[in-house]
Order: sequence, then C-alpha cells, then structure tokens
Amino acid sequence: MAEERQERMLALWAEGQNVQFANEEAERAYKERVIRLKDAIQLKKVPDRVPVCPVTGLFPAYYAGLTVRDAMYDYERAAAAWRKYVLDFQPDAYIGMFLAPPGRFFEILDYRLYKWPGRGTPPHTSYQCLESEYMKADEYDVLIQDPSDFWIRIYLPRIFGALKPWEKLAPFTEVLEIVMTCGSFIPFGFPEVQAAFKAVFEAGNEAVRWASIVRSVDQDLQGQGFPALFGGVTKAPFDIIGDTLRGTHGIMMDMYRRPEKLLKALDVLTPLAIRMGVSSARSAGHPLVFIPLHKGADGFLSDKQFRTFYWPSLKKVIMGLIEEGLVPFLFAEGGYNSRLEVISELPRGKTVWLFEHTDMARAKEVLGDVACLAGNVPITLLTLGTPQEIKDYCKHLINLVGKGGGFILSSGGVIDDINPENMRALIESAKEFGGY
Amino acid sequence: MGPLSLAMAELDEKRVLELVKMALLEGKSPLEIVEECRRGLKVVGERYSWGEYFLSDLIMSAEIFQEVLRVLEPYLPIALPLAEQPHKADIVFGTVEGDIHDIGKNITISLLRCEGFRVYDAGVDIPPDVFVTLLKETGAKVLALSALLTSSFEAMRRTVQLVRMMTAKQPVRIIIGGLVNERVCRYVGADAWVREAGEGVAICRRWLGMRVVKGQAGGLGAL
Repeated sequence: MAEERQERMLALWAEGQNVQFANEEAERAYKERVIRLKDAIQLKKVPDRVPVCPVTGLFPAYYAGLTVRDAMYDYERAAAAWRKYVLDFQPDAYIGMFLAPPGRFFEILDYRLYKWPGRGTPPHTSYQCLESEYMKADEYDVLIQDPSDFWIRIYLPRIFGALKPWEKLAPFTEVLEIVMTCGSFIPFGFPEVQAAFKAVFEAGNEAVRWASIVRSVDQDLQGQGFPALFGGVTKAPFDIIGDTLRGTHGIMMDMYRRPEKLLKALDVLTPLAIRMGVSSARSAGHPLVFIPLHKGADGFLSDKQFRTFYWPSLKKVIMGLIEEGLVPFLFAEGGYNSRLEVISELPRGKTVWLFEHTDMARAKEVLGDVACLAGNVPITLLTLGTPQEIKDYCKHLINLVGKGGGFILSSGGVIDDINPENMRALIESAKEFGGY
Repeated sequence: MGPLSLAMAELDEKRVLELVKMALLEGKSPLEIVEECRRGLKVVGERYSWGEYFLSDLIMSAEIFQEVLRVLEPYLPIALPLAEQPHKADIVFGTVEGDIHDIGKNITISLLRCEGFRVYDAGVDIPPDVFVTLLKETGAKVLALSALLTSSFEAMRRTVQLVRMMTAKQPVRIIIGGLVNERVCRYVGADAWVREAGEGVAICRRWLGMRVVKGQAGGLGAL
C-alpha cells in the first residue's frame, strides 16, 4: 500500500503537473532530474549518475553579493539571487528561498525566538536561535492536555512580543452553546488583544507578499527544468520540545526528572508532526519531507536515552509519512555513528539520510540496503578548501558510497558563504565522477 | 570516594540531596560537602571524556551541583561568588563576534571550573577588542573561542590576530571549539582545536597544569 502510494507520489512529482515548462528541453531535463533522484531513493534501479543536491542555506544570497539582511528584507533581490544560483550552477535539485525568511514579518510580530540581521546579528550573518525555556518544566500537563491551546495562549505570546495579549484569550473549546458562548469572546473586545490581531493581519499580508515571490521563483525554476529538493517539512518530536520549547538544558533534565511527562508529551506531538509533514508535502505535490535532526546526534544522548526518548516518536513520524507515500529526508546534523543500527530497522527504499560527520563507509555498510544516503562534503572543506581538494574528496566519496546507486552527493552541512568555485567543484564532481 | 561523591558520579539527584542534608545535620562543614560533590563531578567529567557519559549527563550533573549549592547557601561562611566572574582568571572564554551559540561554551566552562580552573565567561557575540581587554584585565594565559557558524571563521581569525598583536608581553595560548577542525585551526591561527568539552579540558590541563582543588574559601573562587 505504502509502496503504491510512494510510486504514485513520485510519479506525480516527476510529471510536474502544475509546472509551466519553458520548452521541451526544460521539461525533459526536469523529468530526468526527478527520475535520477527517484532511482537513488528507491534502491530499485541504479540511476544514470549520482545526483548532486547541495544543502544551500544562504549561499544564493552571498553568491549574488547580497548580505543576509538584504535577502531577508528585499524579497525581489533574494528571488533574483535564488534564480541566479540555480541557473548558474545547475544542481539536480535546489533548496528554495524559504531559507531566507521575511525580516519585516518578524519585526511586525516582534519575534523573540531568533536574532537576525538587523535584530541582534550583523548584516552578513545568518539568523540564530535564542535558546531558552519558552515552556516551563511544570507546563507539561498543559501541553499534553491541549497542545493547540498551549501554543495559542502560552507559547506564541512568549515568542512573539506582539502576541503577548493572547495570554488573555479564553480556550476555544469553551465555546459550547448559547449561554456558554459570549463570555469567551470578551477578550476580543480588549484594545490590547485587538492590537495583537492587527499585528497578525499585517504579518499575514507580509507573509502573503513574501510567499507569492517564493512561489514565483519555484515556478520559474521548475519551469526551466530544476526540481525543488523538498516538498514538505516537519521535525522530530524530541527536537520540537528540545529546540524551541524546553531548550537543550531543559529537555536533558526532563529525561531525568520527569521522564513520564516527557514521553507523554512526545506521544501527543507525534501525530501533529506527521500531520505537518503530510499537509506541507501534499500541498506542494512533492513527496520529499525535510526533517532536520538535532538532539539525537552522537554525544548528546546515550544509546538508551536515544532508544527511549528520541527514536520511538521519530520512527512513528517517519513511518506515518511513509504510509502516506512520502519520502522523509532526514538531515542528521553532527555525527550519527552510534545510531546507524537503530535506523536500519526502517523499510527499504523509503527514506533519505543526509549525514554530516558520520563515517560514510560504515553508513553504506549498515544502511546501504535500507536507505538512500546523502552528504557529506565537510562544510569546513567547502569554506576553506580549494576546488581541487573538494573534487578529490567528492571522487573518493562517490567511489565509497555511490557504488550501486542509493547516493546523493551533497554537503554535510548548510552552505552559506563559500567561494563559488568551490560550489562549482562540488557540482561538477557528480557529473565528472558520478556516472554509472 | 565517599557515598556523596559516588551519588554525584551516578547522577542520583535524590540521594545527593539527602546525603547533603544528612551531612549538614551531622555538622560537616559546607565546604567539605562542596568538595565531596566536586570529586563526584570530576568522575562525571572523566566518564564523559571516555564516552560512558553524554551531554545529557553533563548537563544533569551541573544541575545537581547547583541544587546542592542552593541547599548549602545559608550555611556557607562567605557568600559564594557563583554568578560573579573571577577578577583574576586562568582562562577567558567566549563565543566570537556575530555568533550567539552558547551551549558548548557553557558546558565546557562548567567542566573547567570543576577541574579548578578560574574561567572568565565573556558571553556570546564578543568583538575581538573586548577579548583583548578581558585578557589584560584578568591576566589569563589561555583564550578559548567558540563558534558554530562558518561565517564565524573570519571573526575568529580577526580575534586571534588582534590578541597576538596586543598581548605580546603576555603570551596567550588560543584554543578554538565548536564547528572547527585542523583546517579551521590553521586558517584562524589558533594553537589548538577541539570538538568536545572533555578534550578542551585536557588541553587546558596540559597548558596550565593540574589544579589542586582544596576545600578552602580560596578555592571557591573557582566555582
């Protein structure tokens, strides 16, 4: 069943139904690239060559001579930068402009969770997360009982200064029938709550303005023969709590002090994480779901903690997406050497694992029959190395991991400001050394 | 190793706090109790460095220690300079300009302090000249720089250059950590690089010598 669904979703993606192709050549190139990725993912056929899909973060902006601030505030210039990157370098799939999120939007809402250029970091530096306990240790029950209510009335007012008045809202589940209705709407009459909603409308307008430009870049690039690498996005439940609710420190202590609550909260968030991945991928008509992994890396958790707290809910998310015919694309930042055996219990040909510091030879050995592997040209090499050094690394990597298919050449980490010649070396390597 | 040190090493929070309260009732000096806990913390650091313990365990051990100090606070003869920075330091530690990552930095600092080093925590997003000033003010012989972004390589390089230029009379050894390797180390001109807190402590021990931590008021500065 999952098999057929995946086949259908991949076929849908390859057809490019909603893509307006510039010409036949572009259409042929698009399909060729999707099929190349499909073959690498499914482990049924060896592709014509190793696909190459660098994990670009803000590289397109730097390459076009923009600061990160420019890219986050001037959407048109960012759009031009993304087009230029893809057309100049011709990767097999590109990562979209969504990685340059709209600065004005965050200003309107007074976003507290991140610093970004113009709000706490210099113009040329990427946005960065401000870890904190946005959810307190004693709030697990509130989250478990009603996650949406927790988000609306507790979490959002903390991460958006402009939404602080939402703390005064009543739970929507208290709207029942005639005499148990009106009272819940009283807070909407408060001036500060109304001001918060005005900010939301304004932010909504900004999001629409930005999204329409992002969409036009996507349509344009796909029309010229370049598929996007990701359709949807979601996160591992442990990271949802550990990254931006409790923070690293908070969640680590919760494993010792309130393990049952943490496990229950992970349970509650799991179907929501599946829903997020499914709905985002469906609306894009693209089966690949990006899942960045953070706190399950080597060194963060013991094997027992990983198997108890991290993996079960992540596995459910992965399986839930697979059930829907989607392809989870897991970006395992850091090292994943101690996790390979656990991962190997996943069904064959249904996931992509992009590794950073993981030993790729061992990954191929343990996971070669299970998943498509991707990675792992070190970001330090791409930043400080020479084109020749990069080609040497890629050639070796392709020989090591590319054997028999099931491999996508990529960077191990997110590429921001690197020498364009180094990007060229990475992409050319697949074409030079990756033929089967 | 006594039962308190052992409970600390095993990260048994409940037992640690029980033993601390018992020790207080028995009239044991609070400084002695702190010292026993610290012996346990050292074991935690060792277990981490050989891979038996993980980041989660380190974070938990530091948390238990904080709990102990909270219990002991009313009994201590002097106010603990916990939040305060040492006036004189062995190590100045901070995240470079433009970068606000602090988890690795904080963990390494707590490990270094457990080892008895006086560490000045400069914070995050620190410009090169501030590092120079801090090195001069504290007399530190080691500068530890943290960075987790590729765009921070330049800031590290600028910091190293400025420190070398401005502290010629006070030779400072520079260690970098985070998203680094041999290549980054060469590029920025640092003396050593580490990816893990435990390795960082080992290098500081090599550079500065072992610290003998005594259960005396003077030793508390290193907390």
